[in-house]
Order: sequence, then structure tokens, then C-alpha cells
Amino acid sequence: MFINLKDLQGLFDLKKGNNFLEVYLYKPDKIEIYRERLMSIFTDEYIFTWSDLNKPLFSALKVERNVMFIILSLIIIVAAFNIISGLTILVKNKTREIAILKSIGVSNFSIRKIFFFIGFLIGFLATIMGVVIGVTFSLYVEEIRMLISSVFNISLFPEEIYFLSTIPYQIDFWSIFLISSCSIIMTCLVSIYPATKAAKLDTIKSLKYE
Amino acid sequence: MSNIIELNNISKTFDNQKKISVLKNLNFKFKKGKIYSLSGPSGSGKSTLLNLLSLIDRPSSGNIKIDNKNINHNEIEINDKIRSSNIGIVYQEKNLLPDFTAIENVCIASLAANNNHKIAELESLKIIQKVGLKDRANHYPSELSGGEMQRIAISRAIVNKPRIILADEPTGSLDHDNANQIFNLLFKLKNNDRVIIFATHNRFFANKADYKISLSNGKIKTINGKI
Ligand SMILES: Nc1ncnc2c1ncn2[C@@H]1O[C@H](COP(=O)(O)OP(=O)(O)OP(=O)(O)O)[C@@H](O)[C@H]1O
Ligand SMILES: [Mg+2]
Repeated sequence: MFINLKDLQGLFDLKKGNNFLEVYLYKPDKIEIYRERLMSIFTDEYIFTWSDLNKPLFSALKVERNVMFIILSLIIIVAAFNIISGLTILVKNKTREIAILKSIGVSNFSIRKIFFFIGFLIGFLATIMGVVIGVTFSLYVEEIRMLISSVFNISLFPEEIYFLSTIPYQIDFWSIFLISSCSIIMTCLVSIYPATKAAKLDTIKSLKYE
Repeated sequence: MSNIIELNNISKTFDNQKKISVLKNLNFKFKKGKIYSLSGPSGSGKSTLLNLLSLIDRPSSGNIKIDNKNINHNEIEINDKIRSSNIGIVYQEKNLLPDFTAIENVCIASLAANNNHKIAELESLKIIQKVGLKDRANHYPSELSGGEMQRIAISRAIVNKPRIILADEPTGSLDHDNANQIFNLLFKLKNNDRVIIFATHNRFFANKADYKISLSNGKIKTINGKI
């Protein structure tokens, strides 16, 4: 239904300059593009988007996101140290074997490769497992939420606070790829140190005391 | 030239809290086609000398020549290569990788010398057959007796047909019969192009070598030749 603006103002006895026009978009995430377009149409009107109107909420979400990033980074650093210590213990346990390999003429480079490869394998398998678990979790997040709520009798993700009836999720292949490559590269970097240490072991001592 | 290894003024000292001079200005030429036994009291430096010969350790001074070529102890990669294809080593015990079967242990040495998988497997099986352990090839070291482990260790030492075989008390933890078997095996490996050097406390086996080298106080005291 279309109606002339003047007629409408007359009909409801509105004064000029007291009009609001609400625009709903099919693609709310493209808001900035539409805002520019609307601005070029209504050159002397104010335009507020949904993100302008909910600034505190969005900045809160942003903080939450940043904090989450820091926490997850810390977890990754702890995991990396776990890999270092695990590999270092492995090298320690395999001192005799490393010495045997040296005594049959296996080069230091090959010994480095062995331990580097173990580190890479750990990182690679862990990443695959992480991706599988993460994606499954996202897909079934609602079922998991309900299960936890009913088992522990608590209200997880209450609708009154979050305005959402279900936990939203988004599986973004680009982020999965990015995070996976980062974690694999990280484990590789972290494996270099114990691998180098394995290659530098004193063969004579290892032959004697192990 | 019949010399395969030449020691020129080799000294070895350990610099811990106290300076220990283990080998002092050794000069010696090992000839091809001969078997040498190293004997001497405990602590006389037999193991130290063998570690120098295997290029695992480096002398404090002096130089080693193998096949008339000076060994540079800083060229670790080249020395690893020499060791993998030209030197076979047997220690007293725990020679084998516990996570691998007998044949895999032998194979690894062959692979380390850059042989391909097929050849390595074939050669390993052949040699294990030669030491009489064909039916134990797929057993893990923990499933073998001490003597059998040493026979596998010898198989691994010779799989690349090395020209230098070094053994550091290879029968130190075996009874006389087993020791006899191991030494018979070792002596059978003698050929014109190869030198075999072993350290032992056992006078009986030391006497069976072509040359007996006796170490004491960091010097070669006596060299007795059978021939
Ligand atoms: N890393 C080291 N640091 C200090 N001293 C060492 C070291 N390795 C060996 N030695 C000393 O060198 C000497 C010779 O040791 P070596 O192991 O060569 O003797 P050995 O003749 O093989 O004795 P055994 O018959 O008991 O095996 C010993 O006195 C030992 O204390
Ligand atoms: Mg010794």
C-alpha cells in the first residue's frame, strides 16, 4: 500500500519534521552499505542503524570477544609448552636409542627429522580432532545446551539476557582453515627445540649411562 | 698400501674437575685383512680408543687417517656417512632398538647407508640367515637371549659390508659357550679388505686375534703378532 507523505501527515495530524521512517533489511549484516545508500537518498535526515542504537551491547560483545581471544591464546600457549615438555621427556627416554642410531651412522639431520615429525604428527592429529569436535559441538550446541540444563538443572544461556531462544553458531571454513594452520605451524615451531636437542645429545655419554 | 686406519699422535684427555689423560700420543697403523684385540686393565682406555676409531668421539690432539684420508672431526655429516657405510660397531649390550624387531634393527642400518627398502630387507634377511636366526627375525629384542641379541647386533654391524668392524667387549655379558659362538662368528668375517678390532677382558679370545694390543697408562704397551 502506498500513500503520499503529505496525505499521511494530514490524516494523522502530524507536524512536518517529526517523521520517523523505519527500514527493515533482509540482510542486516550489510547495514553499512545500505546506510550509505539511504544517506544519499535522504541527504538532510539523520540515519541511525541498529548497531548505533545498541552501542553498549555491541561494545560489550566486542570486549567479550577480545577476552575470549586472549583466554584461548593462553590455552594454546599452555598446550604448546605441553608439547615441548612431552617431546623433551621423549628425547630423554630415548637417549640410548638416539645413541644407537648415531652409532650406525644416522645423521644428526635425520634424528632431528624424527623428533620434528613426531611433534608435527601430534599437532596435526590434535588439530583434526579439534576441528571434528568443534564442528560437531557447534552443530549440536542446542541439544548439548538442553542436555546440560536438564542434567544440572540450571538455565544456560537464558533468553531474557541474550534475547535469543537458541545459541547461535556459524561455521566459517575460512576461520577453521586459519586456526588449523596456525595450530599446526605452532606445534611445528615448538617441536624444533626438542628435536634439535635430540640431535645434539652427547653420544658417548648416552652410550655409557643409559 | 695395506694400512686402513692410521693414528698419529692421538691423545685424549677428559677435562672435568680433574684433568684425566686417558690416551697419550698414540701412534699406530691398523692393517687390512687383520684382526686386532685390545686388552688392558679396566680404565685403560679401550672403549675410549674404540670411540675415537668409530668417529663418535674426537681426539684432544693428533689425527686419524682412514684409507689415507685425514678425518676432520668438524665435518660431522661426512663422518656420519663414513660410519654408516664403512664402520660396523658392536657394544657389550643394549645394542638394539627395543621397539623394532630383529630384522628391522638390521634394516635400519642398511637404510642409514641410503639403500632402498627392498635391498635393505633382502640383505638383512640374508645376513640374519647367516647368523642362524632366520626363525627369530620377526622377534623383538626383549624376546631374544643375550647371545641372540649379540648375533643380531653383529648382523647389523655387517649389513653394509663395512671395511672396519669394531667391537667393545661384545661378549662381556655372555657365558663362555655363547661367547665362543660370537667370536667364531666375528672371526669368520675376516677378509682381505677388512679390519676387525675388538676389546675384551678375556685372554683366551684376545689371544686368537692376529695382533694383540695391550693398553696401559695411556700407551700401547705391547703388540704381539701371531704371524
Ligand atoms: N666422559 C668422561 N669424563 C671423564 N673421564 C672419563 C670419561 N670417559 C672415560 N673417562 C675415563 O677414561 C678412562 C678410560 O675409560 P674407558 O671406558 O676407555 O676404559 P676401558 O679400558 O674401556 O675400561 P673397561 O675395561 O672397564 O671398559 C677411565 O679412567 C675413565 O674414568
Ligand atoms: Mg670399556
